[in-house]
Amino acid sequence: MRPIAYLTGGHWFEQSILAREPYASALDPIYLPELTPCVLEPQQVAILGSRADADALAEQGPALLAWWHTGGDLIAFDQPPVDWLPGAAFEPRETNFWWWCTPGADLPLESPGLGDPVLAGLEHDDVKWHHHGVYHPPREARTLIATPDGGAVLYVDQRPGSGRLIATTMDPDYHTGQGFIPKAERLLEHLVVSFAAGIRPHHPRRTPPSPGRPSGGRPSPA
Amino acid sequence: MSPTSFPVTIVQPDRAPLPEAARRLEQVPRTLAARALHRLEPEPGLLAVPRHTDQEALWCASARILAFLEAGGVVASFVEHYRPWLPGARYRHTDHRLTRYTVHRAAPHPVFDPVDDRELYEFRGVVGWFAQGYLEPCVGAEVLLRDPDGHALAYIDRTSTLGTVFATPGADLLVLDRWRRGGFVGAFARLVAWAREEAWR
Repeated sequence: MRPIAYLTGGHWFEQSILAREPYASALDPIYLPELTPCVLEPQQVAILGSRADADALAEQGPALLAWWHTGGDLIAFDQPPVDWLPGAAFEPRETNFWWWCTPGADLPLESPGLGDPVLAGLEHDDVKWHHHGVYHPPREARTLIATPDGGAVLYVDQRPGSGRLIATTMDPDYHTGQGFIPKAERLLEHLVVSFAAGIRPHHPRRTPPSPGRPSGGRPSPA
Repeated sequence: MSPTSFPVTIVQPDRAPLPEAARRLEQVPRTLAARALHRLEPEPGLLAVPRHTDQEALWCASARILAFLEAGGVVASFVEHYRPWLPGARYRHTDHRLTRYTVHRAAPHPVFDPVDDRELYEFRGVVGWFAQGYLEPCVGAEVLLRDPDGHALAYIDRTSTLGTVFATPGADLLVLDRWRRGGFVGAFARLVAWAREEAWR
Protein backbone atom coordinates (compact mmCIF):
# COMPACT_ATOMS: atom_id res chain seq x y z
CA MET A 1 0.00 0.00 0.00
CA ARG A 2 1.20 3.51 -0.65
CA PRO A 3 1.00 5.82 2.35
CA ILE A 4 -1.85 8.26 2.56
CA ALA A 5 -1.10 11.62 4.12
CA TYR A 6 -3.32 11.93 7.18
CA LEU A 7 -3.59 15.60 8.11
CA THR A 8 -3.94 15.72 11.87
CA GLY A 9 -4.89 18.35 14.38
CA GLY A 10 -3.48 17.19 17.71
CA HIS A 11 -6.32 14.90 18.83
CA TRP A 12 -6.36 11.71 20.84
CA PHE A 13 -8.52 9.81 18.37
CA GLU A 14 -5.87 10.30 15.70
CA GLN A 15 -3.26 8.63 17.88
CA SER A 16 -5.67 5.77 18.52
CA ILE A 17 -6.15 5.17 14.80
CA LEU A 18 -2.48 5.43 13.98
CA ALA A 19 -1.67 2.68 16.48
CA ARG A 20 -3.84 0.14 14.65
CA GLU A 21 -3.77 -1.67 11.33
CA PRO A 22 -4.48 -1.10 8.54
CA TYR A 23 -4.15 2.57 9.43
CA ALA A 24 -0.67 2.34 10.94
CA SER A 25 0.71 1.09 7.62
CA ALA A 26 -1.47 3.10 5.30
CA LEU A 27 -1.47 6.53 6.95
CA ASP A 28 1.43 8.94 7.16
CA PRO A 29 0.48 11.54 9.78
CA ILE A 30 1.24 15.17 9.02
CA TYR A 31 0.34 17.84 11.55
CA LEU A 32 -1.83 20.21 9.55
CA PRO A 33 -0.35 23.51 10.81
CA GLU A 34 3.10 22.29 9.75
CA LEU A 35 2.07 21.02 6.33
CA THR A 36 4.19 22.31 3.52
CA PRO A 37 2.72 21.68 0.08
CA CYS A 38 5.92 20.18 -1.28
CA VAL A 39 5.60 17.13 0.96
CA LEU A 40 2.48 16.05 -0.91
CA GLU A 41 3.37 14.37 -4.16
CA PRO A 42 1.22 14.61 -7.27
CA GLN A 43 -1.15 11.64 -7.48
CA GLN A 44 -0.86 11.05 -3.75
CA VAL A 45 -3.87 10.80 -1.44
CA ALA A 46 -4.47 13.03 1.57
CA ILE A 47 -7.13 12.77 4.24
CA LEU A 48 -8.12 15.81 6.22
CA GLY A 49 -9.04 14.40 9.61
CA SER A 50 -12.10 15.27 11.63
CA ARG A 51 -12.24 18.17 14.09
CA ALA A 52 -9.80 20.24 12.03
CA ASP A 53 -8.78 23.53 13.55
CA ALA A 54 -10.47 26.50 11.88
CA ASP A 55 -7.37 28.67 11.84
CA ALA A 56 -5.13 25.88 10.57
CA LEU A 57 -7.55 24.99 7.80
CA ALA A 58 -7.99 28.58 6.77
CA GLU A 59 -4.20 28.85 6.50
CA GLN A 60 -3.55 25.54 4.75
CA GLY A 61 -6.73 25.16 2.73
CA PRO A 62 -5.62 27.14 -0.32
CA ALA A 63 -2.42 25.10 -0.68
CA LEU A 64 -4.34 21.86 -0.29
CA LEU A 65 -6.77 22.88 -2.99
CA ALA A 66 -3.93 23.91 -5.27
CA TRP A 67 -2.42 20.45 -4.81
CA TRP A 68 -5.81 18.83 -5.55
CA HIS A 69 -6.03 20.85 -8.76
CA THR A 70 -2.75 19.31 -9.91
CA GLY A 71 -3.93 15.73 -9.46
CA GLY A 72 -3.92 14.85 -5.77
CA ASP A 73 -6.87 12.97 -4.27
CA LEU A 74 -8.21 14.80 -1.23
CA ILE A 75 -10.66 13.32 1.28
CA ALA A 76 -12.19 15.71 3.80
CA PHE A 77 -14.02 14.34 6.83
CA ASP A 78 -16.48 16.00 9.20
CA GLN A 79 -18.25 19.32 9.10
CA PRO A 80 -15.86 22.02 7.94
CA PRO A 81 -14.90 24.56 10.62
CA VAL A 82 -14.66 27.17 7.86
CA ASP A 83 -16.02 27.28 4.32
CA TRP A 84 -13.07 26.30 2.17
CA LEU A 85 -14.20 23.83 -0.48
CA PRO A 86 -14.64 25.31 -3.97
CA GLY A 87 -18.22 26.00 -4.93
CA ALA A 88 -19.61 24.21 -1.90
CA ALA A 89 -21.68 25.67 0.91
CA PHE A 90 -21.97 23.83 4.18
CA GLU A 91 -25.30 23.78 5.99
CA PRO A 92 -25.10 22.70 9.63
CA ARG A 93 -27.89 20.48 10.88
CA GLU A 94 -28.52 18.95 14.26
CA THR A 95 -26.72 15.65 14.51
CA ASN A 96 -29.21 12.92 15.35
CA PHE A 97 -27.06 10.36 17.09
CA TRP A 98 -29.91 8.74 18.99
CA TRP A 99 -32.30 7.76 16.19
CA TRP A 100 -31.48 4.08 16.49
CA CYS A 101 -32.51 4.07 20.15
CA THR A 102 -36.08 5.08 19.32
CA PRO A 103 -38.32 2.23 18.15
CA GLY A 104 -39.53 2.85 14.65
CA ALA A 105 -37.31 5.87 14.11
CA ASP A 106 -35.14 6.25 11.05
CA LEU A 107 -32.30 8.34 9.72
CA PRO A 108 -33.53 9.50 6.33
CA LEU A 109 -30.62 8.96 3.98
CA GLU A 110 -30.16 8.06 0.34
CA SER A 111 -27.08 6.52 -1.20
CA PRO A 112 -27.35 6.87 -4.96
CA GLY A 113 -23.60 6.58 -5.41
CA LEU A 114 -22.87 3.20 -3.88
CA GLY A 115 -21.92 1.98 -7.33
CA ASP A 116 -19.37 4.75 -7.79
CA PRO A 117 -15.76 3.54 -7.68
CA VAL A 118 -15.20 5.58 -4.54
CA LEU A 119 -17.81 3.66 -2.55
CA ALA A 120 -18.16 0.40 -4.50
CA GLY A 121 -18.20 -2.47 -2.06
CA LEU A 122 -20.03 -0.61 0.66
CA GLU A 123 -23.71 -1.03 1.39
CA HIS A 124 -26.29 1.49 2.46
CA ASP A 125 -26.17 0.30 6.06
CA ASP A 126 -22.44 1.03 6.19
CA VAL A 127 -22.95 4.76 5.75
CA LYS A 128 -26.10 5.11 7.81
CA TRP A 129 -25.20 6.18 11.32
CA HIS A 130 -25.14 9.97 11.49
CA HIS A 131 -23.78 13.04 9.79
CA HIS A 132 -22.98 16.58 10.84
CA GLY A 133 -24.91 18.56 8.27
CA VAL A 134 -24.95 18.72 4.50
CA TYR A 135 -23.07 20.32 1.65
CA HIS A 136 -24.60 22.08 -1.29
CA PRO A 137 -21.86 21.09 -3.72
CA PRO A 138 -20.96 22.61 -7.06
CA ARG A 139 -23.07 21.61 -10.05
CA GLU A 140 -20.42 19.38 -11.59
CA ALA A 141 -19.95 17.30 -8.44
CA ARG A 142 -21.32 13.78 -8.00
CA THR A 143 -23.39 13.39 -4.86
CA LEU A 144 -22.98 9.83 -3.61
CA ILE A 145 -24.78 10.04 -0.26
CA ALA A 146 -27.59 12.51 0.33
CA THR A 147 -30.45 13.50 2.54
CA PRO A 148 -33.92 13.17 0.96
CA ASP A 149 -34.08 16.93 0.44
CA GLY A 150 -30.96 16.83 -1.70
CA GLY A 151 -28.27 17.85 0.73
CA ALA A 152 -24.96 16.12 0.06
CA VAL A 153 -23.56 14.02 2.88
CA LEU A 154 -20.74 12.82 0.62
CA TYR A 155 -19.82 14.15 -2.79
CA VAL A 156 -16.99 13.86 -5.28
CA ASP A 157 -15.68 16.87 -7.15
CA GLN A 158 -13.29 16.21 -10.00
CA ARG A 159 -12.27 18.89 -12.46
CA PRO A 160 -10.18 18.60 -15.63
CA GLY A 161 -6.65 17.79 -14.52
CA SER A 162 -7.52 17.59 -10.85
CA GLY A 163 -7.64 14.66 -8.51
CA ARG A 164 -10.79 13.65 -6.71
CA LEU A 165 -12.07 15.80 -3.90
CA ILE A 166 -14.24 13.63 -1.68
CA ALA A 167 -15.99 15.65 0.99
CA THR A 168 -18.28 14.18 3.60
CA THR A 169 -19.95 15.50 6.71
CA MET A 170 -19.43 12.12 8.36
CA ASP A 171 -16.55 11.66 10.77
CA PRO A 172 -15.53 8.00 10.59
CA ASP A 173 -11.96 8.57 11.80
CA TYR A 174 -13.21 10.25 14.97
CA HIS A 175 -15.59 7.44 15.86
CA THR A 176 -13.14 4.72 14.91
CA GLY A 177 -10.51 6.26 17.13
CA GLN A 178 -12.90 6.79 19.99
CA GLY A 179 -14.35 3.29 19.71
CA PHE A 180 -17.74 4.93 19.76
CA ILE A 181 -20.03 3.72 16.98
CA PRO A 182 -17.91 0.84 15.67
CA LYS A 183 -20.06 0.79 12.55
CA ALA A 184 -18.36 4.01 11.43
CA GLU A 185 -15.14 2.13 10.81
CA ARG A 186 -16.55 0.47 7.70
CA LEU A 187 -16.39 3.73 5.78
CA LEU A 188 -12.96 4.66 7.10
CA GLU A 189 -11.45 1.27 6.41
CA HIS A 190 -12.98 1.15 2.96
CA LEU A 191 -11.56 4.51 1.96
CA VAL A 192 -8.15 3.94 3.51
CA VAL A 193 -7.64 0.44 2.14
CA SER A 194 -8.93 1.20 -1.32
CA PHE A 195 -7.11 4.50 -1.76
CA ALA A 196 -3.89 3.13 -0.32
CA ALA A 197 -4.06 0.32 -2.84
CA GLY A 198 -4.46 2.79 -5.64
CA ILE A 199 -8.25 3.05 -5.57
CA ARG A 200 -10.66 1.05 -7.76
CA PRO A 201 -12.01 -0.41 -4.54
CA HIS A 202 -13.62 -3.79 -4.73
CA HIS A 203 -12.65 -5.60 -1.60
CA PRO A 204 -14.70 -7.97 0.50
CA ARG A 205 -16.67 -6.63 3.42
CA ARG A 206 -14.95 -7.02 6.75
CA THR A 207 -18.11 -7.51 8.74
CA PRO A 208 -21.65 -8.21 7.65
CA PRO A 209 -24.10 -5.33 7.93
CA SER A 210 -26.54 -5.19 10.77
CA PRO A 211 -30.20 -4.86 9.86
CA GLY A 212 -30.70 -1.15 10.21
CA ARG A 213 -29.06 -0.57 13.56
CA PRO A 214 -25.52 0.38 14.41
CA SER A 215 -23.62 -2.71 15.43
CA GLY A 216 -23.50 -2.16 19.14
CA GLY A 217 -22.41 1.38 18.58
CA ARG A 218 -22.69 3.96 21.23
CA PRO A 219 -23.23 7.24 19.44
CA SER A 220 -21.38 10.21 20.71
CA PRO A 221 -22.68 13.71 21.28
CA ALA A 222 -19.59 15.22 19.77
CA MET B 1 -10.10 41.70 42.19
CA SER B 2 -13.82 42.33 42.02
CA PRO B 3 -16.21 39.53 41.01
CA THR B 4 -16.78 41.18 37.65
CA SER B 5 -13.09 41.32 36.84
CA PHE B 6 -12.52 37.59 37.01
CA PRO B 7 -10.88 36.83 33.66
CA VAL B 8 -12.26 33.85 31.77
CA THR B 9 -10.38 32.64 28.70
CA ILE B 10 -11.57 29.92 26.34
CA VAL B 11 -9.00 28.23 24.14
CA GLN B 12 -10.41 28.22 20.62
CA PRO B 13 -9.46 29.27 17.12
CA ASP B 14 -9.88 32.92 16.22
CA ARG B 15 -12.37 32.03 13.50
CA ALA B 16 -14.59 29.79 15.60
CA PRO B 17 -17.80 31.25 17.05
CA LEU B 18 -17.98 31.56 20.81
CA PRO B 19 -19.90 28.62 22.30
CA GLU B 20 -23.46 29.43 23.27
CA ALA B 21 -22.75 28.53 26.89
CA ALA B 22 -20.05 31.20 26.97
CA ARG B 23 -22.18 33.82 25.26
CA ARG B 24 -24.77 33.49 28.00
CA LEU B 25 -22.37 34.49 30.76
CA GLU B 26 -22.75 37.93 32.33
CA GLN B 27 -19.17 38.67 31.42
CA VAL B 28 -18.32 37.52 27.90
CA PRO B 29 -15.11 35.46 28.00
CA ARG B 30 -12.14 36.24 25.88
CA THR B 31 -10.74 33.67 23.51
CA LEU B 32 -7.21 32.64 22.70
CA ALA B 33 -6.18 30.25 19.95
CA ALA B 34 -4.18 27.26 21.14
CA ARG B 35 -1.20 28.35 19.07
CA ALA B 36 -1.39 31.79 20.72
CA LEU B 37 -1.21 30.51 24.28
CA HIS B 38 2.26 31.99 24.59
CA ARG B 39 0.31 35.20 25.19
CA LEU B 40 -1.54 33.72 28.20
CA GLU B 41 -1.01 36.01 31.16
CA PRO B 42 -0.18 34.40 34.52
CA GLU B 43 -3.11 35.50 36.65
CA PRO B 44 -5.83 34.04 38.88
CA GLY B 45 -8.45 33.53 36.20
CA LEU B 46 -10.09 30.58 34.46
CA LEU B 47 -8.63 28.93 31.38
CA ALA B 48 -11.18 26.60 29.76
CA VAL B 49 -9.74 24.05 27.35
CA PRO B 50 -12.39 22.44 25.12
CA ARG B 51 -12.27 18.76 24.27
CA HIS B 52 -10.99 19.07 20.73
CA THR B 53 -8.23 21.58 21.36
CA ASP B 54 -5.01 21.00 19.44
CA GLN B 55 -2.76 19.17 21.90
CA GLU B 56 0.41 19.79 19.96
CA ALA B 57 -0.18 23.48 20.54
CA LEU B 58 -1.08 22.88 24.18
CA TRP B 59 2.12 20.93 24.62
CA CYS B 60 4.15 23.75 23.14
CA ALA B 61 2.45 26.11 25.59
CA SER B 62 2.77 23.84 28.63
CA ALA B 63 5.28 26.12 30.38
CA ARG B 64 2.92 29.05 29.95
CA ILE B 65 -0.02 27.01 31.26
CA LEU B 66 2.07 25.96 34.25
CA ALA B 67 2.91 29.61 34.94
CA PHE B 68 -0.81 30.42 34.78
CA LEU B 69 -1.51 27.73 37.36
CA GLU B 70 1.34 28.78 39.61
CA ALA B 71 -0.10 32.29 39.61
CA GLY B 72 -3.28 30.90 41.13
CA GLY B 73 -5.19 30.28 37.91
CA VAL B 74 -7.79 27.60 37.38
CA VAL B 75 -7.52 25.35 34.34
CA ALA B 76 -10.66 23.46 33.31
CA SER B 77 -9.63 20.75 30.86
CA PHE B 78 -12.03 18.57 28.89
CA VAL B 79 -9.24 17.03 26.82
CA GLU B 80 -8.37 13.38 26.30
CA HIS B 81 -4.66 13.79 26.82
CA TYR B 82 -1.99 12.20 24.74
CA ARG B 83 0.52 14.98 25.32
CA PRO B 84 1.65 15.86 28.86
CA TRP B 85 0.64 19.50 28.74
CA LEU B 86 -1.32 19.57 32.01
CA PRO B 87 0.35 18.82 35.35
CA GLY B 88 -0.96 15.75 37.12
CA ALA B 89 -3.25 14.46 34.39
CA ARG B 90 -3.11 11.19 32.48
CA TYR B 91 -5.79 9.82 30.17
CA ARG B 92 -6.59 6.17 29.66
CA HIS B 93 -8.98 4.91 27.04
CA THR B 94 -11.52 2.24 27.89
CA ASP B 95 -14.17 0.31 26.05
CA HIS B 96 -17.09 0.24 28.42
CA ARG B 97 -19.83 -2.16 27.56
CA LEU B 98 -23.04 -0.46 26.69
CA THR B 99 -25.04 -2.27 29.33
CA ARG B 100 -22.90 -1.46 32.32
CA TYR B 101 -21.73 2.05 31.64
CA THR B 102 -22.75 4.43 34.40
CA VAL B 103 -21.33 7.48 36.10
CA HIS B 104 -21.20 7.64 39.87
CA ARG B 105 -20.82 10.63 42.16
CA ALA B 106 -17.81 10.51 44.42
CA ALA B 107 -18.09 13.99 45.93
CA PRO B 108 -20.57 16.86 45.66
CA HIS B 109 -19.74 19.77 43.40
CA PRO B 110 -21.83 22.74 42.23
CA VAL B 111 -21.21 21.91 38.57
CA PHE B 112 -22.74 18.45 38.83
CA ASP B 113 -25.07 18.78 41.84
CA PRO B 114 -28.11 19.93 39.78
CA VAL B 115 -27.64 17.04 37.33
CA ASP B 116 -29.78 13.97 37.92
CA ASP B 117 -27.95 10.71 38.41
CA ARG B 118 -29.30 9.25 35.19
CA GLU B 119 -28.58 12.45 33.27
CA LEU B 120 -24.92 11.94 34.03
CA TYR B 121 -24.72 8.91 31.78
CA GLU B 122 -27.82 8.74 29.61
CA PHE B 123 -29.25 11.11 27.05
CA ARG B 124 -32.07 10.24 24.68
CA GLY B 125 -31.53 6.60 25.44
CA VAL B 126 -27.84 6.72 24.61
CA VAL B 127 -25.23 5.91 27.23
CA GLY B 128 -21.48 6.08 27.02
CA TRP B 129 -21.34 9.61 25.70
CA PHE B 130 -19.95 11.16 28.89
CA ALA B 131 -16.49 9.79 28.28
CA GLN B 132 -14.77 7.02 26.38
CA GLY B 133 -11.97 6.83 28.87
CA TYR B 134 -10.89 7.96 32.30
CA LEU B 135 -8.26 10.05 34.01
CA GLU B 136 -5.51 9.02 36.37
CA PRO B 137 -5.19 12.04 38.64
CA CYS B 138 -2.27 12.69 40.88
CA VAL B 139 -2.25 11.62 44.51
CA GLY B 140 -4.32 14.00 46.58
CA ALA B 141 -6.74 14.97 43.85
CA GLU B 142 -10.43 15.18 44.77
CA VAL B 143 -12.41 12.83 42.54
CA LEU B 144 -15.93 14.07 41.74
CA LEU B 145 -17.22 11.37 39.39
CA ARG B 146 -16.21 7.78 38.80
CA ASP B 147 -16.90 5.13 36.17
CA PRO B 148 -18.14 1.64 37.08
CA ASP B 149 -14.56 0.51 37.68
CA GLY B 150 -13.88 3.34 40.08
CA HIS B 151 -11.77 5.39 37.69
CA ALA B 152 -11.97 9.17 37.76
CA LEU B 153 -14.31 10.87 35.30
CA ALA B 154 -13.96 14.30 36.91
CA TYR B 155 -11.47 15.54 39.47
CA ILE B 156 -10.02 18.63 41.09
CA ASP B 157 -6.26 18.86 41.60
CA ARG B 158 -5.06 21.45 44.13
CA THR B 159 -1.76 19.75 44.85
CA SER B 160 0.26 19.63 41.64
CA THR B 161 0.55 23.41 41.40
CA LEU B 162 -0.38 26.51 43.36
CA GLY B 163 -3.46 26.78 41.20
CA THR B 164 -6.35 24.41 40.53
CA VAL B 165 -7.10 21.92 37.80
CA PHE B 166 -10.66 20.77 37.05
CA ALA B 167 -10.56 17.95 34.55
CA THR B 168 -12.83 15.52 32.74
CA PRO B 169 -11.80 12.98 30.08
CA GLY B 170 -13.76 14.44 27.19
CA ALA B 171 -16.97 15.53 28.90
CA ASP B 172 -16.93 19.10 27.63
CA LEU B 173 -19.12 21.40 29.72
CA LEU B 174 -19.17 23.96 26.90
CA VAL B 175 -20.85 21.37 24.69
CA LEU B 176 -23.02 19.64 27.28
CA ASP B 177 -24.43 23.00 28.31
CA ARG B 178 -25.53 23.56 24.74
CA TRP B 179 -27.10 20.31 23.66
CA ARG B 180 -28.35 18.88 26.92
CA ARG B 181 -31.42 19.75 28.85
CA GLY B 182 -32.09 19.49 32.55
CA GLY B 183 -29.27 19.79 35.01
CA PHE B 184 -26.50 20.35 32.50
CA VAL B 185 -28.00 23.65 31.42
CA GLY B 186 -25.89 26.35 33.02
CA ALA B 187 -23.10 23.92 33.87
CA PHE B 188 -20.43 26.15 32.35
CA ALA B 189 -21.74 29.19 34.22
CA ARG B 190 -21.58 27.19 37.42
CA LEU B 191 -18.02 26.20 36.57
CA VAL B 192 -17.08 29.85 36.13
CA ALA B 193 -18.72 30.77 39.46
CA TRP B 194 -16.90 27.94 41.19
CA ALA B 195 -13.58 28.88 39.58
CA ARG B 196 -13.97 32.46 40.75
CA GLU B 197 -14.30 31.24 44.34
CA GLU B 198 -11.47 28.81 43.80
CA ALA B 199 -9.15 31.54 42.58
CA TRP B 200 -9.91 33.48 45.76
CA ARG B 201 -9.04 30.46 47.86
